[in-house]
Amino acid sequence: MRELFSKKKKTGIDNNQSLSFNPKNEFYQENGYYIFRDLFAKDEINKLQDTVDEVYGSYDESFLRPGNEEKMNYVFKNGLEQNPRSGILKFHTLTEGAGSALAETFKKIFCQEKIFSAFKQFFSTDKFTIHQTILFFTSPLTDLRPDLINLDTSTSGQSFTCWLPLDHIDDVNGGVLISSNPTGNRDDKMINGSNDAEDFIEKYKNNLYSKNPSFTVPILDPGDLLLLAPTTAHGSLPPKYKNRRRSMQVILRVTSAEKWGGFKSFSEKHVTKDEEDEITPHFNILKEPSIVDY
Amino acid sequence: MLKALFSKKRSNEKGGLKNADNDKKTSYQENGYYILRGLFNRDKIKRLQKAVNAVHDSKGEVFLRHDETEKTNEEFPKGLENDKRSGLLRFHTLTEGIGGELADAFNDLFCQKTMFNALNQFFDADKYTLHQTILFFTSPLTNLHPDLVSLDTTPSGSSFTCWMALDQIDDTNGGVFIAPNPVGKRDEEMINSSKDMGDYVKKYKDDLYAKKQDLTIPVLSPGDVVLFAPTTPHGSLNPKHNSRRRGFQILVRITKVSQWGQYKDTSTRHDTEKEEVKLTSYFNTLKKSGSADY
Repeated sequence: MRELFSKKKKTGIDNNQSLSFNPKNEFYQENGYYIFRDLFAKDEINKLQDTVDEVYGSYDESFLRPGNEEKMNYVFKNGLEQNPRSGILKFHTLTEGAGSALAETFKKIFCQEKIFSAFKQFFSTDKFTIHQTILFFTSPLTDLRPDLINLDTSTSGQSFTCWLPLDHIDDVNGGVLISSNPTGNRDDKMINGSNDAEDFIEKYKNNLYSKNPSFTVPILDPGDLLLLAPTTAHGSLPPKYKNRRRSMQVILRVTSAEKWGGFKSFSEKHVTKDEEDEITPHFNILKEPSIVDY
Repeated sequence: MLKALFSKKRSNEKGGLKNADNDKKTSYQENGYYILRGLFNRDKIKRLQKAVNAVHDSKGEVFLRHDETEKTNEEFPKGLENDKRSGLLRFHTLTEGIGGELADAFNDLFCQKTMFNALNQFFDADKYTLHQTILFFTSPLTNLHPDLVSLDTTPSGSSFTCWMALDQIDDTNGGVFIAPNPVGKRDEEMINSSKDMGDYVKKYKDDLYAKKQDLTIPVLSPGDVVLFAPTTPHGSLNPKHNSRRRGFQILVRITKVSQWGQYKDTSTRHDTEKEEVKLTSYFNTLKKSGSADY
C-alpha cells in the first residue's frame, strides 16, 4: 500500500485529468478507501472541536442517538462512563442551542468548495447529497460491516462515507479498522440470500474471516478525512486506555444517482427536487434524513 | 503490496533457497513479518489446546507469570476476570504435572523438523535457540513496541519472535497488530539517546504515530504463526466481545549467532555450549531463560 501511495504522490493530481488517470481514484477504486491528509485547516478544526465540546458540555438538551432514541446529554457526562457508545444522530439537522451551532459550523466547514473539489477527484458530478451524519464522542465498538446496509446506489459505488477525526485516533483510543475491497465489489448473491441487514452482516463477517485477511488501521489526526466506499467493510476498535475520541461520520451520495436505497433495495427511484434541499451550489441535504439502526 | 512483492522475484537463483521461499523471504525482509499458515498437524494442535486448557482449569499449581510473579491458577479461572492479563512465562521449561504436559505438547509441535524447515525459508541456520516463551490466555493489551527490547543480535535480525495462535484471533478478541518495518531497521540514535527501555518505547511510539504509518491486523487461525523481526513493532488490542484468545509468544535466536543481548546491550559475547541445553535435534533452549518485561 505504501508503494501505491508513493507511486501516486510522484504523479500528483491534475484537476483536468480524467478520473481513470487520477492516481488517488485508482487507489480508491482498488482498495475501497482513501485518506485525505490535512484537508481541513487548523482553525476550521478548532471551530468544530469547540462546538462539539459545547454540545458535550450541555445538560439540558435531548438529542437523537444512533439507535433512534432521544436522550439528554447527562447520560454521557463523567468521562463517558454512562451510555458511552451513544453519539448524536443527524446532528447536521439540529436547529436549537448548542446543537444548532454545531450543525451550522459543520455545514459551513464541510460543504465548501475545497471539499467538493476533493470529492470530484473520485466522482464525476456537480453536486453531492448528505444523507446522514453521526457525531461520536467515543468508539461505538462497531463490528466490521460495509455501509451499504445504510445506503448504496443502483450501480454500486455512487454513495460513500466520510469519516472525520476530531482527535488523534489510533489503536489506543478506539481506531477505525478497514478491510480493503475494490469499490463496488458487492456480493449480490449473499445480499439476496439474507433475511435482513443483520443476517447479511453475520454472513459477510463469517465469509471474510474465513479467508484470513489482514485489516488496516490508519493513524488519523484532526484535519484528515477518510473516504470509504459503501462496499468497504470497516469497524471501530475498543479503546485500550483513552476513551475519548471525537469524530464525525457523514454518508453522502452523488446527487445525480437517483436510483438508491438502504439494504437490499438499492434501486428505488427518488426525485431529488422533491426530496432534497440545497445548502450550497455543490451540496444538498435530505429533507428526511435516513435512519440508522446501529 | 504483497502481491506485487510476490510477483517481483521469479528468476531462478542457483543454490540457496527455492523461488517460492525467496518470495517469502523478500516479503519478510521488506515488511519485517511473515505469516506461516497451516504448518502443523491438527492432532498436535488439539493436544496443545487440551494441555493449555488443563493449565487454565487447574487450581493448585504455582506458575511463573510474565510479570515475574508466582501465582496459582486460582487467581484467574472463571472467565479470566482476575489477573487476566498475566500469562505463563517460560512454560516450555516446566517439567511436572500439567505444566510438564504443556511443555511436552509444545515441544512436540514447535521444536520439530516442520518448524525448523519453515524457519529455514527465512534464515540460514543449523539450529535455533528458544530464549523465552509466554503463554497468553487473553490479550495482554501490549502497546506498540519492537521486540529488540527483549532480544536482538549483532548484527541485528538474527533473532525473531514467533507468535502462534491457538484460537481464531482477530479484531474482536484482542488481536495482534503490526506496523510493517524492514528487518534490521532500527534507530540507533534514538536507542542511544534514551534513558531506559521505557523511555525508548515511548519515543518510538510517538515517532511512529507522528509518521501516520498504517497498522495491520492479521486474522489468525489455530496453528498460524506470525514471524516478527526484532525491529518490527507490534502490540495487542483490547478484546471487543470475547476476551479469551490463547496464544504463544516464542523468542528465538539462530544458535550460531553468539553476539546477542537485550535492549542497548546486544553485542555481549555468549558461550552457546555452556549456556544452552538441547531440546531436540533442531532446537536448543537457554539453561536460564531470559526474562521479559512484556
